[in-house]
Amino acid sequence: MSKSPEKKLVTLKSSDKEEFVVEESIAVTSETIKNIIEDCGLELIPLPNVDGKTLAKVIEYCTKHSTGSNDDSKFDDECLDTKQLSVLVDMLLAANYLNIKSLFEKVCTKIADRIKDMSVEEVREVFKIENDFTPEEEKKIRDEHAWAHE
Amino acid sequence: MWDLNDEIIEEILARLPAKSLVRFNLVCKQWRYLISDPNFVRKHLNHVLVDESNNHHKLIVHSSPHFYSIDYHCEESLDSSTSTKRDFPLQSTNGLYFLGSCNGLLLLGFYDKTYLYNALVLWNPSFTDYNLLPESSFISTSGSVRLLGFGYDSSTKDYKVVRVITNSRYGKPMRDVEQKVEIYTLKTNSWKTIQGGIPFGNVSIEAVQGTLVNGSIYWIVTNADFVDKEEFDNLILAFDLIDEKFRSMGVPRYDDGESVWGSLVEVRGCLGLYQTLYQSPDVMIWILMEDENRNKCWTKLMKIPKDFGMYSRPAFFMKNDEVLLSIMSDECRKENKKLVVYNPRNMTFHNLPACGISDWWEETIYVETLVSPNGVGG
Repeated sequence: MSKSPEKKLVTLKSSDKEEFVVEESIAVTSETIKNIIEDCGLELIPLPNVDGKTLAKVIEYCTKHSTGSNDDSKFDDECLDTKQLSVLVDMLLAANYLNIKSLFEKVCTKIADRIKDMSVEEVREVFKIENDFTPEEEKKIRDEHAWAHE
Repeated sequence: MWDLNDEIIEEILARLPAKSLVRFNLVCKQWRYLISDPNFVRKHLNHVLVDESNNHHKLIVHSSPHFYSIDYHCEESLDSSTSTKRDFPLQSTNGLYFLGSCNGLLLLGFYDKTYLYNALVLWNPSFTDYNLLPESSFISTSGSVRLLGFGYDSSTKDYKVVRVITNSRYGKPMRDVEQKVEIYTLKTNSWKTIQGGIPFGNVSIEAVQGTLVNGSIYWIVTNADFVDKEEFDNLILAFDLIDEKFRSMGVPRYDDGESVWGSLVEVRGCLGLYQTLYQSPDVMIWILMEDENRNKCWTKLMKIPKDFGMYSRPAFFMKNDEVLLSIMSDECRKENKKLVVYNPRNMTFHNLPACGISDWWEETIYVETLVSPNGVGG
């Protein structure tokens, strides 16, 4: 007996070989997964760009999100409420790869909130960016915008 | 290592407040390049404008010759306000006044009592650069600025200043009054004259500067056209920034039909009128709202008690219904004005922490953005 489309299940396999069985209707919150299913009709979908830990959170988000419950935003905050910026960045990359617009935007906002009060040095450390200004250039720019560095 | 490509970084940066972005110009050359790109500035502006939190709104205070930007937060017991000095590079012995605020750009005018606001300048307090607008040839003959407004035309994505100049003088017959309407656009950085000005010959204005609400600029005036023996009545002039036409609209009226007089103010995206009556212990705030049939009508929004003494028009109507305003401070304090927040639900005022600003002259609200006063790009 074939199941109705809403109850159809798919398996998502993370980069570290963890497998997650989810309802197709939830999995297709991801445009990427939706396209894979439509184009290839796969039931076991490998996602080499997302590790198991992150994939679990993404699935949690999609599950809560698709029921359309009013507790949506409250849950989103919980699932994104992590002390580690690296976890948020992993979620961001996953949301980007899996093409889940609402999650991507929410995580962007979360990350922006985390870095907005950081100093220039802290930001460079977080994003692993080299300072390519000369000391003179840096002083000139800093003086121009002294108020923002207070 | 994170493989964050430029597009992703841009999406994160676009959600930052302007102050962070100004600071992050220093992170590296790539970020500086990105943050100053006109397309990014526009993207950031769009995020600021749809943000419902009011976190991007700041108060700018003119305490001659300095300007201070105040970042205030009114969350229950966590009131705070911090002020930072902003450098405004032009000096003048004439008075300098706020004439408009739109998308982070401020329009200021140098007051010359002969011509009133002959010199106009655009400035974004996030930067030190400014744009001194070209002068009008009409003023140099014998005119004076009667109406002035600043706003954004969403159809051409351009900033505009509208200015009505007349050569009216006391004793000059009304029929001999010439009127000229000029529009400045930032993209052309020049003025043009348009046909069709104020639809009445003789109006008495409440204030030269208009109030910007959603793509139109409004002034409250009294029509005193005795020549045609029309009724002596208050009305509102509206200038549409897209079609560049003036229209007139009604003011609130009492039950007996008498028209109300007051100052115009923006109230959370709607036109408001702030009415002070000598006999009344309160200030009445009216708001123009659309009903379900899309008819506009004036309704009373709230009263603000005058017990706190004289104060200027409310600075900002916040999303939580509270009102931010400045009032005269106690005599013995160094700061001559202070910020308070009025709560209309329980009809109380509470003070915000002192900003340490003496000689506080006037203030206006603005949103902090990266928009350039010289109109580079979008």
